[in-house]
Amino acid sequence: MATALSDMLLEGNATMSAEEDLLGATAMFTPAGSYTLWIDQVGAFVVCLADMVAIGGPSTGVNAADVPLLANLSRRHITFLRSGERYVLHAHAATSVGGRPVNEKCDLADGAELQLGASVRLRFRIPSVVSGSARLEFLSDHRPASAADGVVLMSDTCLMGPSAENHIRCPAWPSSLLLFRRDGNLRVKGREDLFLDGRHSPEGGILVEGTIVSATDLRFRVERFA
Amino acid sequence: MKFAYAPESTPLPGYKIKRAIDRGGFGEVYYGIADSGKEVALKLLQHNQQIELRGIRQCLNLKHPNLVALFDIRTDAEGDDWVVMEYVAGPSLDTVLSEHPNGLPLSEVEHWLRGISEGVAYLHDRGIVHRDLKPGNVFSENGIVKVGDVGLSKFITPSRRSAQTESVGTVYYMAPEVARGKYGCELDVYSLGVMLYEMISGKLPFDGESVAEILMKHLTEHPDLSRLPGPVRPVVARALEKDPQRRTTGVLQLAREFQGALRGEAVALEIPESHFVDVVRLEIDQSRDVRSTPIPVVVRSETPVPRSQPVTRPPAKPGFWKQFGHELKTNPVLIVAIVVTCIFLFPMLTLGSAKGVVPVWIPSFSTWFVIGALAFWVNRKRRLAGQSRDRSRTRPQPPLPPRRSLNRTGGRDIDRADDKTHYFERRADTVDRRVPEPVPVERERVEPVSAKGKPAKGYGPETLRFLSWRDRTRELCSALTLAVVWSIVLTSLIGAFQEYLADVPMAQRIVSDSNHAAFFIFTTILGAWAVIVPAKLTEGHGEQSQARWVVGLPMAAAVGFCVWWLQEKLLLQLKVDSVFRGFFEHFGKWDLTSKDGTTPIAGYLAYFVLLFGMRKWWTQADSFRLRRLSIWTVAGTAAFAWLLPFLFRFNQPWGVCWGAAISVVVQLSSPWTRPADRAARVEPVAKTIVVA
Repeated sequence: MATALSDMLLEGNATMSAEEDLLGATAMFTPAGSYTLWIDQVGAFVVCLADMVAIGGPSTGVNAADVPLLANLSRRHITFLRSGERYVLHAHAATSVGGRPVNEKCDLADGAELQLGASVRLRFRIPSVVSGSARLEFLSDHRPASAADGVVLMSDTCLMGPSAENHIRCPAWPSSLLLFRRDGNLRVKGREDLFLDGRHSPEGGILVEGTIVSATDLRFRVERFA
Repeated sequence: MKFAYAPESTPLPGYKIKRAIDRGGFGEVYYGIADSGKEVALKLLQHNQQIELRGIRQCLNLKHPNLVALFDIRTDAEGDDWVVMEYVAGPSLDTVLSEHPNGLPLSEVEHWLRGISEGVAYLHDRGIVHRDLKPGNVFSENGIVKVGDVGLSKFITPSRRSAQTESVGTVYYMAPEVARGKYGCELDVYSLGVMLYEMISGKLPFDGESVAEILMKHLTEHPDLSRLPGPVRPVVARALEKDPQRRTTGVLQLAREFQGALRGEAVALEIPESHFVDVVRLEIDQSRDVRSTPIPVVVRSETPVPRSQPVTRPPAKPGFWKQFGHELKTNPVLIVAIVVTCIFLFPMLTLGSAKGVVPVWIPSFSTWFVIGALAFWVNRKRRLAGQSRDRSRTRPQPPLPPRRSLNRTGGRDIDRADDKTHYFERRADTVDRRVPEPVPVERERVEPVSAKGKPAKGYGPETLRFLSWRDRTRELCSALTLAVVWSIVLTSLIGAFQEYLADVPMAQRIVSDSNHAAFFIFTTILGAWAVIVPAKLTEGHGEQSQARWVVGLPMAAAVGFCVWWLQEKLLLQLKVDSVFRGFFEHFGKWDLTSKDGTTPIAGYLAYFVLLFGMRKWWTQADSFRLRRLSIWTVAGTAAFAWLLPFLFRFNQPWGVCWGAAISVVVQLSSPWTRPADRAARVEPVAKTIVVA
């Protein structure tokens, strides 16, 4: 079952049972924070589990953004709000989408280019039609203080794999892995013969802070995003 | 791909590894964070690779915006060396190229070219040759191009171990002169030329199924420039010149010429017709053109090349006289040799008398020999060209990784299979040294794949290849020793067949008189040595017939002299009984035959000079000769030796026997490489450079 799931999701014809499985899990999940995935040969990706993600300038205070960038931005410059399949951008300071300044809020579509302040440019992508998760790509060279090559706004699932439909593209991987929520946990499964922290876990398992997921041709570590 | 260190491990105090970035030719590269939070790239140089650290040390303090900065070199508890360097977050040119399979927009090509050339020119200005420019080593971050792996390239000795010779790495970007081990800044110009070609067209100028094939193309084939827009063709053609002397004079010059070509400035350069293949007219993609009007461009007709074709195609050889004429025009030393020969020939012809031997002949022949050697050397230098600024010596090289991890174009399966192979082999010695890694239940095991090119017919004595002095000396010594053994064995055979040779007085004399036997053995050894020594010392440097003869003939004369001297000393009284005295009885004032039937010194000299001069003896000693022992070669030599006494009288059948015996001994004692193994011996040549 584990092997088939990612493929089915990719092809867009997930069976009802699989859908129910995931949706049921999602309903019970209490979103918690963000993780950085340190992926060999790929990079560092921030996966935000919350439905509301704020992006802003550098700050260490209580009111800091979820993803603070080293950029000349307000402390909380914009907020992404996910409701169902939709993403709405709430602009708290000068922001434009597709070259047009945003008044207060704006619906986002796949491929939208955002400009925050004078120089920060991001691209909003929903790479997979079978998952509501979105990805933020850094177009300008502004990054968080700690390494990040991209941000995933994860709704129910997050796909990691070689093709362009994955949220995190890992060109050298043989097949896709699926991150999903169930029973309040972040879990992983895939058709590869997986090891979690060195334990053979062909069925996948729960990801927590510090988990190292590996298979013959892939490896990544999960870490709480500071 | 597996890496030796797990995330969060701290092999170097002060740095924590967060993830692996990639594996290069030297070892693994990790993304690390210093205790302070500074991000760095950590390059592990595993100690079994014997990295030349001096090369990196001297680059440690170089600063240039277009070079990846080196911070430190550290050694961990395991004894492995690490290079701590700037982490460049941007994509490598390799990645960018894989996203543009048909080439980059020309404005971007210009951007990359300018950045790379400025960084590399800075290195050249400081006397450093990068030696390993390739797309995987060049990055772009925040619009700044950065060249990496400075000082990391190294020499290797050509290794016979096939596991070390199969991988394809930087071969695609390797200049032809690397094969000869001598090179300078022109090397980087060539590599950059290949990259320029690839950036514009998305294709490699020299691609192939095996390392040997690609190397052969670097050495012999012209790039197909029809894939490039017209104005830049001469620029790329000049950067990809085989002869470093004729190449674009520097990387900055290359960038300038390219910019000039984009702006439509005239580039007064001609492209040889041979650079183009059979063509069909196509229109190039409009966006690719600098000017908005599409220019018609000639493009290679896309006919599939049958894979079974032999991969190597040695260039057509010009005729001897044509080549000789060319040599005369271009090699002044050869002219000097000829003039000196004429000057010495005059007193030889007029002085006569055996008493003049020592004062006239010896200095003349030794002068000739020196000039000949000089001619050979000049010739070789001109061919190999390229001055080496870097004197670091060669070391064994780890297998190279595939050029791209992404599947950009088809037909690289070999490389990838290869990579897997060497990965697993490598794992064997790096495995689990420090990391409790999950052990897969049943790990796929890849047997070493031999990706070497088919043993092509093209490998012969004239094939250019690199032989280290150690190998050369070893082969020479064994050949010289074996020559002695075989000479004795061969002469003993006469004794074994004594009964059948009852009618041959020479055989009877050899069997009955130890002096005669020793004389025959000694002559054979001497003759074989005179062939083997120069042949071995110059093996792998190509044809060069003229220079070889200039060197070889004095050796032949010396052999003739020794033979004459020996038979005088041994009082052998070798007499010719035939009445026919030959067409020539004198050479100038020198008697070639004497009235009593003995052969005077001039006869010996002339006989051996002609015997050695009439055949390409060096091919018989070359390890790439057609067969280990070719009966036809022996027969041909014997036939020559048999015909010579028609010119002037000489002891027969001694002469014929010497000819045949020397030929047999030379072939039996010289090492021989089986045709199937030749590719492997040619391959390591141009692989003298490594990369990470």
